[in-house]
Amino acid sequence: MLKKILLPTILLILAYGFWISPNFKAIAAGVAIFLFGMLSLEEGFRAFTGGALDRLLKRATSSTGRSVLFGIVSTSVMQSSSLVSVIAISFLSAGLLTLAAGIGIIFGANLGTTTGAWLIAGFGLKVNIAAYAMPLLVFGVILIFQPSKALKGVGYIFAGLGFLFLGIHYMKEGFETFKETINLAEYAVAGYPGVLLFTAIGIFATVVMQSSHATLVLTITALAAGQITYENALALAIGANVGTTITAILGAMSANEGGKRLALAHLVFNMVTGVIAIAFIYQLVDVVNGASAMVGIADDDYTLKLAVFHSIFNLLGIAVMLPLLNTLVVWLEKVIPEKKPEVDQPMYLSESSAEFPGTAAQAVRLETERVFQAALRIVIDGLGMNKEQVLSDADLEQALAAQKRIHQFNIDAMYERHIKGIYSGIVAFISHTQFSRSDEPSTDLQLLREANTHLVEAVKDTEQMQENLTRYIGSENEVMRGAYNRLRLQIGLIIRDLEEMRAAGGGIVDLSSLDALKLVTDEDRRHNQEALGRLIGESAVTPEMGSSLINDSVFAHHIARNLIEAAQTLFATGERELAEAIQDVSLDESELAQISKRTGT
Amino acid sequence: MKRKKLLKALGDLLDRKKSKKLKHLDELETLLGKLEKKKGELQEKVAREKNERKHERMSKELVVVEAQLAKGRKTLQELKKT
Repeated sequence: MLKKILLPTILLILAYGFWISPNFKAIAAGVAIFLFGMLSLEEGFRAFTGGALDRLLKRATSSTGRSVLFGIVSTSVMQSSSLVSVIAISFLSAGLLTLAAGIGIIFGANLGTTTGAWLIAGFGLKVNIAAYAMPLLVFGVILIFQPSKALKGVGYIFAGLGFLFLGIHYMKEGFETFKETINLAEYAVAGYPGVLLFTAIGIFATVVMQSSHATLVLTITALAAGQITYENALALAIGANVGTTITAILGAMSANEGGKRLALAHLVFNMVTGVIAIAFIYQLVDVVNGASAMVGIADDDYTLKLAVFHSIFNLLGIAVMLPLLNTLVVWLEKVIPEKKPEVDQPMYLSESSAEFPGTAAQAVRLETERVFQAALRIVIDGLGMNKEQVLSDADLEQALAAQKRIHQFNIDAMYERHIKGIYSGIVAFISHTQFSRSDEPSTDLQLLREANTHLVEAVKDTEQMQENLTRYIGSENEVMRGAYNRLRLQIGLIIRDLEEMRAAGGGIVDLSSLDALKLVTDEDRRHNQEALGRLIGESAVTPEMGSSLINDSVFAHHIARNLIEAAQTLFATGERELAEAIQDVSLDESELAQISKRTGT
Repeated sequence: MKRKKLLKALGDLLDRKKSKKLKHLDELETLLGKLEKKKGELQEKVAREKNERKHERMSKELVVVEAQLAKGRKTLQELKKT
């Protein structure tokens, strides 16, 4: 109930916010773009799994020390610990990193980010990452459209980074008003109450501005102008360090459990570091004074001393947390357990249903019907068709022709989720059913097992077709588009007919209908072969395209045939009392071929 | 005469092989009857159907039903002979 009303409520609040505040609109758009960037980044890194990036990351993060170093260097270069954190979350989500290595990177990123304070305080410089957003997006999108998998991956990474930068830019722009209205001098408070208050302000400012750098800029400027005390500025820096974890938390919202664990590790590290820094702030001030004197920083150069403080307390955090790394990993795995993917399991197969031949066959039949439905769905989605269009009286030919692109549907994942569990259950059930090799129902069980095999083969054949299909439906080559649309149409119409028969109730009626469908598929195959011969003869397609089309028309025929064979077992064996007579009148392949020849189809 | 008929029927009933054959014949006749009915329905539907694709598929089905009927009748005749 709560879930049902939550989304509309959020949408209404957002719509109201957009209406009353342009700043809010910019912030919300920033968050949306940022999250989209995360998804794009993950997609990009996935393209390199098992490739060069895998090896590079493995080398760069093969030990905790190396991971920390990787975090320091990458954050110093990119000038954004938030970005390195979200990249680490992406790496982890894509399975390119272990959790321990990811945590090492986060530790390093916290130290690396202190170089920003040095740059701001020492040189007044800051790398403006938003300036890179537009070119990154342009290069990224161009590369995404390249056929090479590697270039596509780089494109997604570029576009992802571009969107991240752009998102942060929009968020900052939206909060520009906040930044202008925050006057830190009004909150100068001495002692521990001041430390706690300014830490809280630092957290808040960083959360709303999505950037610890922005908070540090404010802090350093205020400190240089004497608006705040040195002590309060240190507390603000601590707060910025804690507040910056919000970016990783946002990034982890669209990540898997690994990403969420890393975001929590980031929060834990920065919280622990923050608590230590607050507890020992006065001792740390003494250490900073000593270290500053050693490197020649003037006693009254508070801005540079703030940078020293920023580095020292993060270094202290690493020194404290690094020995606890393995304990932290164990704790995180316990707090955020890995969710096993939901896999459809048999619903009707049980010890009690295995007791009698009739109930066993009925249970397997019901499970097979579930596999049948799942297989139809996968074939429809896998070929980029719309279920409603396939299963209605809609003009499927026109609908398919209008499609300019189809999405790559993960057939393997859908098979694992919706079919494999039930299929394995059926196979195990039939094998363990004692009467499966003796009397009448065993024939039913064997037929049902074969029906399942046909359905699995239909799914696997769809997977075989998918790559070329996706490529040519999305291409400008009208001939190939037309040829692949014809294959999809043929399968779609067979599915439509099968579903109509199923809805009609089954029985002997379907026996001739299914045989007629077999005739149709054979005829389709012949027409495809003739059409292909013409295309090759007229040089309308290249030999490579022709060979793809030959293979895929065979796959299309197999898909249709396998679905019909499965349907024959499921729908046409209803009238058991006529089973023997049905065998007498059923037409075999050669008889069907003769009819096909005679009717000239 | 009646007694003779009764004894024949009893004999047929006790003859398992013959009983099975009779059952088979009975099934086949029922099935052929259903197929005949379906053929008639299909012929009507084919004549009425305006949708080109459906018309084509029904026509094919009609051809299949006719072939099944022919095959079934042939089997029935052979069964009756034996």
